[in-house]
Amino acid sequence: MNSAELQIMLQDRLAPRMDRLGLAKHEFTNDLDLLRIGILDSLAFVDLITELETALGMQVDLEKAFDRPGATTIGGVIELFLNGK
Amino acid sequence: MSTLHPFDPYNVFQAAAVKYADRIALRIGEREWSYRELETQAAAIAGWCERNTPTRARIAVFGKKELAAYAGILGILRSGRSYVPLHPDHPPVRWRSVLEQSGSAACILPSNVGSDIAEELKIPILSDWSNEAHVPPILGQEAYVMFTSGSTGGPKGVPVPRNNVAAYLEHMLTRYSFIPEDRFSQLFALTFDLSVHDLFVCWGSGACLCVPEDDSALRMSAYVETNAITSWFSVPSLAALMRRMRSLRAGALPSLKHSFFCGEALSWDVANSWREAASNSTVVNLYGPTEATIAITEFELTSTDSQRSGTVPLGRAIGRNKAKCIPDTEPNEGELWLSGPQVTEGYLGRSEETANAFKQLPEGNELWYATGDRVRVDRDGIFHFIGRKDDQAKVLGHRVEPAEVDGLLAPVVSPANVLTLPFVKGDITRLVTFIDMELDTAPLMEHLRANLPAYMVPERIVCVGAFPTTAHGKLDRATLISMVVDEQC
Repeated sequence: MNSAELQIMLQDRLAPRMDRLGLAKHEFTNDLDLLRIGILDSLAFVDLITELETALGMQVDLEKAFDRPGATTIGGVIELFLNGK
Repeated sequence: MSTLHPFDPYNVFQAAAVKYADRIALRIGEREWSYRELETQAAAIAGWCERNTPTRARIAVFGKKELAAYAGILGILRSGRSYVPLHPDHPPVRWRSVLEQSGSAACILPSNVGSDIAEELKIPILSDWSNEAHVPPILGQEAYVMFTSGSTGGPKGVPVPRNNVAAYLEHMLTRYSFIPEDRFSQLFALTFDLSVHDLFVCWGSGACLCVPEDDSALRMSAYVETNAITSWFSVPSLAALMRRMRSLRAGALPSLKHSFFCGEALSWDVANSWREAASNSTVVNLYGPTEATIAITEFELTSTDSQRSGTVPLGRAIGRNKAKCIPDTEPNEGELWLSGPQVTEGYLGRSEETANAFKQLPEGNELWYATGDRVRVDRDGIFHFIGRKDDQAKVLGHRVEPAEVDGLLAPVVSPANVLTLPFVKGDITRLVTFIDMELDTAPLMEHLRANLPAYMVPERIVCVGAFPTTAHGKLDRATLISMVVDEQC
């Protein structure tokens, strides 16, 4: 799965939460921080990652992942699954 | 006339400041302050309090993870006054309610906080105490007022006397073998009374309080490792989250010697995972409502009980406190009542709610606090949590009255059409609000966010055509919950 496909997958999963916050599709960019904007809290963020792990059939190193800047942005999540095996 | 309890919270800090003046008392991120430096700050703040507020006034402390908050608490206690914590992340309407109800005379505020917040608080502010003359410690009666969720009329305050805190500290500091080389976690918000354990059990031991600058629940393993934490205290949800993140590998937390959990039910699954990760640590489940000062029962896990399932027992009352099961359906099952030196005397300005919760038994004149928690007591006198008598929920250890959430929606939705319920996903409790009509939920969520602390805001509002009912015509809560538990995101 490449970066664009991962972004579409994330957008599909997060669309209901974006709608509830009144966020438009064009605001779904790689810089969008899911925790800071309030789309997800820490618990829901881990839920998202573990659901993606199941869907993609892979495990990422969560501890290392959260140590880097931008880990909770859309781009950070994509990078985690592209490089975090 | 008041006398000084040897385990009075300020007294234990000061004793450590004399004995361990140059040891580190407080570490926030990478900045550190010694006991001597922290006492100097406290003495200056106490001087200002003494000169600018009435004797035994209540004084608010606004802040988190800043020196001002910790020195503020110490300074207020040194001045014989009582502190009222305000959380910067809570909505201003919450601050106003807390300030009004507590009658706070002033507020300690970090100097980097904007002037708009100082204006919002509308009481005298202390942000710079560098030139304030010091005063010696002054005897006080009340330690703090903590606010919890109330089913009517917003948050309710629990004033906690210093001697109640002293009774808790006496138990903790004599029961457990803390040493000055220990390094304590500080994960509870200062608006949560479990933070009192963090601060004063640590300082009463002459140890170092390690405050994470970034308290993201996602980085807890790194926090323990970087700070070489030896004494951990958190809600079980945090351990559950760490387990989901695969951070609780065998031997992963070797520095820990003591691990305490409190605030919500601790599952054996999570406790056993923690014991594997923190293999050098004792693990203790604490229980206690704010009305009974921090924690009032304890259960220490032993190596023989690793196979158990369900939730870890609440244990037995600590120190000179008493716990009693008032039976209802079964002889050994019923509501948990508490009495003793840690039990407070009631709520601030709420005589009816005080009378309903603080009672005497026919056979004595002791004051008992009726917790609303249903328990079972076993043959060994150990209490086991069964559930609540009412709808109260625990979210990340915080008490939440769903009626307070529903009540905020009353201008838009009548109470009969709205229902907030807790649900558990991945060992962690969250809230969801159901409405039995079609509405635009975005403005409602915005309204809740503007009026409630984050932990009280439901994860979502779900509109259903009509509330489902059981075969007996009762509201079918299980069906409602099942609508959200299995959903993705």
